[in-house]
Amino acid sequence: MMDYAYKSILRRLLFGLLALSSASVSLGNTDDSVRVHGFLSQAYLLSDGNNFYGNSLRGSTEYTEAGVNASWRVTSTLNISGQLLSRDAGSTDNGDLKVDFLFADIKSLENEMSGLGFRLGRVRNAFGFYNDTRDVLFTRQTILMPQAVYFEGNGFRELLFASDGAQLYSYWDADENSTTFNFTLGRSKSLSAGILRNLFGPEASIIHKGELKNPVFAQLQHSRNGGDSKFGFSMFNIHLDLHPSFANMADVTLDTVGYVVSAQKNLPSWTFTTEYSFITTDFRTAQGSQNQELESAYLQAQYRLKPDITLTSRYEYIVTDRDHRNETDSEHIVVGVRWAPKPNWILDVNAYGIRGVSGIPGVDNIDNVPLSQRTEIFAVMLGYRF
Amino acid sequence: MLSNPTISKYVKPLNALKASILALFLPILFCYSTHADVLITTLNDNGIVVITNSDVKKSELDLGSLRAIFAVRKKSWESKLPIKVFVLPDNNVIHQLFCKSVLKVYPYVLREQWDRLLFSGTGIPPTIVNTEKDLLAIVSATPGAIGYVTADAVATPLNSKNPQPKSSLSEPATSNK
Repeated sequence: MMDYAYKSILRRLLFGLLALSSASVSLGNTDDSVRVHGFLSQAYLLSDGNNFYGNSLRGSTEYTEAGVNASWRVTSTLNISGQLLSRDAGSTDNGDLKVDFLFADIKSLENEMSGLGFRLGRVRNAFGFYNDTRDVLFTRQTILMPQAVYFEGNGFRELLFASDGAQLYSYWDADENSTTFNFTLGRSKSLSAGILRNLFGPEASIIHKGELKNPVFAQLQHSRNGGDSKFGFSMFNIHLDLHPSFANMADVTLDTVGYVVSAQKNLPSWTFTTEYSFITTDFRTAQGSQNQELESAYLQAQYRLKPDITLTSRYEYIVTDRDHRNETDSEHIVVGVRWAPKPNWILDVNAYGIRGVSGIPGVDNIDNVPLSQRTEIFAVMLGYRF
Repeated sequence: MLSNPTISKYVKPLNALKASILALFLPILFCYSTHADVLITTLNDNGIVVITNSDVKKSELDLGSLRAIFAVRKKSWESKLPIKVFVLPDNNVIHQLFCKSVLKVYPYVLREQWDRLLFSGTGIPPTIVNTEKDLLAIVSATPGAIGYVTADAVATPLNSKNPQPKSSLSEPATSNK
């Protein structure tokens, strides 16, 4: 009950900020040294088979995202940016107000064709095409991120999300192309009980403490002809230390290395996107070690039917353990239509057909075990930005 | 006239008629530019001109530089003056023409880039100005500013009685914090 009241106060605070900042933007829109923007989106999900974000088998509205961000251009080489975010996603995220990012951006070098700088603070990890803006409906193509590559439902997102640390960024421009490189080194941090529960399900209760040790993210992107074609290669290395509650159980360490290859082709009416991810995890205890390889990919086509209507279809394939491909594979098929009647409004209608259980949030289905091998989701989401 | 260094390479070998019309216009454009503190750095065959505030002192911008500036990768002029980018709304025909014919970028790709900057905190997207007339006024009043308009818009104020002088427009310090 207390938790609910707390959530409600924070939400009101955020919505108050949203209202306040939209007013301030309209007052000072010719001044580009300080900018305040924000977004708000609300979904309705109805599913068959399994729950996805709340009790969607009966219809759920437990998928809300709201954020306010501000950027201050202190000098031509120093920029400070921050974003507050509230995200409610069934039992996987509780709507608490969080500092999504907050960093100082120091551009150290800039000449005609290249630049290099550093960001210090809480930075979003560049990973695949979409990780650094994944919680904003306006920067993703469908209501749910691709479960392949972005792992929306199973808690992995919390590890990929943001790092407290330092990020180096750089770019090289040529006449017809541009290349960027981004490297992030994060500080070690303790994982909250909520993150552990999303990651490990009910077994998380035997973990007394979980620590994420110095995560590393790197991304190389190459864009040709003003973004007609885009290619990316991302990698990360995450090390988790898990200390069990019981003295007779040994500590477990997880060493995870992930790679993503991304490609996109933009045409006047069509956009084709594909991303492939390979993640290998070593589980080590005093007794020995075990390795698990996860592989996933998606292929997405978008068609801009009219300036304000975009159709999207996507096929995703996920194998959570390559040694047991037949038992652990999942397929997702997504079709959607997006209507953007105004630049700051979006209405998305999506349908998801899922075979297998990869991506199905375990914590939303505690009363729905064993999980169904098939899930269909109908989802509508309304988004506003300023 | 077409070999003038202030005209970028975007002036492709056009048909003779278009070229001669442009050539007729150019003296008017540059005449205006000295009065209203707007420099024209790029003129293309669709009649879109890239304009900068006169203190930028940059007579030519190549495609790579223009893309870097409008994608907000490049943030300062060589003089260290911060670059301030002004654009028309996404659905404005002039904006779409500018994207396609000057930057040679699909407008939706540019919008995606700006949204990613905005919502990852890694850059401040260009300021949107509702009309061409306002855009011209803001660029001429804001040090370090860059934008684009149609050649007609730059030419028209020449006939008006009182082209706004720089001093009166650049007064409000809010545009230059």
